[in-house]
Amino acid sequence: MLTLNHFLALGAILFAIGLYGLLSRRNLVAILMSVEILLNAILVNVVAIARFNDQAQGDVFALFIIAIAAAEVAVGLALFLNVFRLNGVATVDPLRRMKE
Amino acid sequence: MEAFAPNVLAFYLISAVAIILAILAVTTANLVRAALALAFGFFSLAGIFWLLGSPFVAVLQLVVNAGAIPIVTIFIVMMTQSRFSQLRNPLFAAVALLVAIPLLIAAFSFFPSPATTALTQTTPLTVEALGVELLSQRGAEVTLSSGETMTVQAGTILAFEVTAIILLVAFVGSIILARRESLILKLESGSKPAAEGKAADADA
Repeated sequence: MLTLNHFLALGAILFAIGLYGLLSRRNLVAILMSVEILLNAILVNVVAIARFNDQAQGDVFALFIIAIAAAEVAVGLALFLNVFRLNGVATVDPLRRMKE
Repeated sequence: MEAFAPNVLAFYLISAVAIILAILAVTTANLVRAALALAFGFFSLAGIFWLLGSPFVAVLQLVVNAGAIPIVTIFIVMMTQSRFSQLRNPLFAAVALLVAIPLLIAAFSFFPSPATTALTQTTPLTVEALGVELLSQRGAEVTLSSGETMTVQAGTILAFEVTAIILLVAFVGSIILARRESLILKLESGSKPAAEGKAADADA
């Protein structure tokens, strides 16, 4: 028998994997890929809770999450291209000087 | 006996594939391979959405998250010449575990009432019903093609249009940001010439 908890557990595991990638990667593109995994973990949770409560709002919200994630990727990758042009590498290391 | 129902087997198989591919995507040093693992991981997550009874979300997952986003990611991996990425301190796995364990406990204890409902007892959401929910006003009475009338709960037509404008603004913005003679480069040129920044100056 598949229950809501199965899907929530899958979402939690994917969230942890994405968080690990977010913290351990130095390359900006790799960090964005980790953020994508985080977003998909949330997506699994949202759709699962919506289906098990028999509500359509959750699925509608999932569509908005996917659309906003696509916009975020487009803008993020354009920014990373600028970071690469300015510094020669697209990692978080040259961005440290923003702290100074 | 019940543990080997087809949808239970499918869930465990798809979840195992998705989790392994997600781990590969965050640990592989070669970023092209990581993006490929990400694409196939999202591909298998579409199976989860299908299993849940949301075919439209599953198809959108295939088209956008498993199709478009990894392709753009691979493009940018090539353009920023960052095919290989070192990992920082692997101690961060401990942080991820510290977050994951409370999340798992919450997943198994804070949602007790639907946990007694099996997936087979839920009704799948048809694409037509989802479209009516997405593209109507709240409270509207809509007659479906099956003849039954439904009352719109979500009614997100305004949010839908705003999302369309956000996508347009984001894409135009990314084109402007990624232009060779970008405003950011003009502001910073001279202070820190990079490989491509010099080429842009030479062109000008």
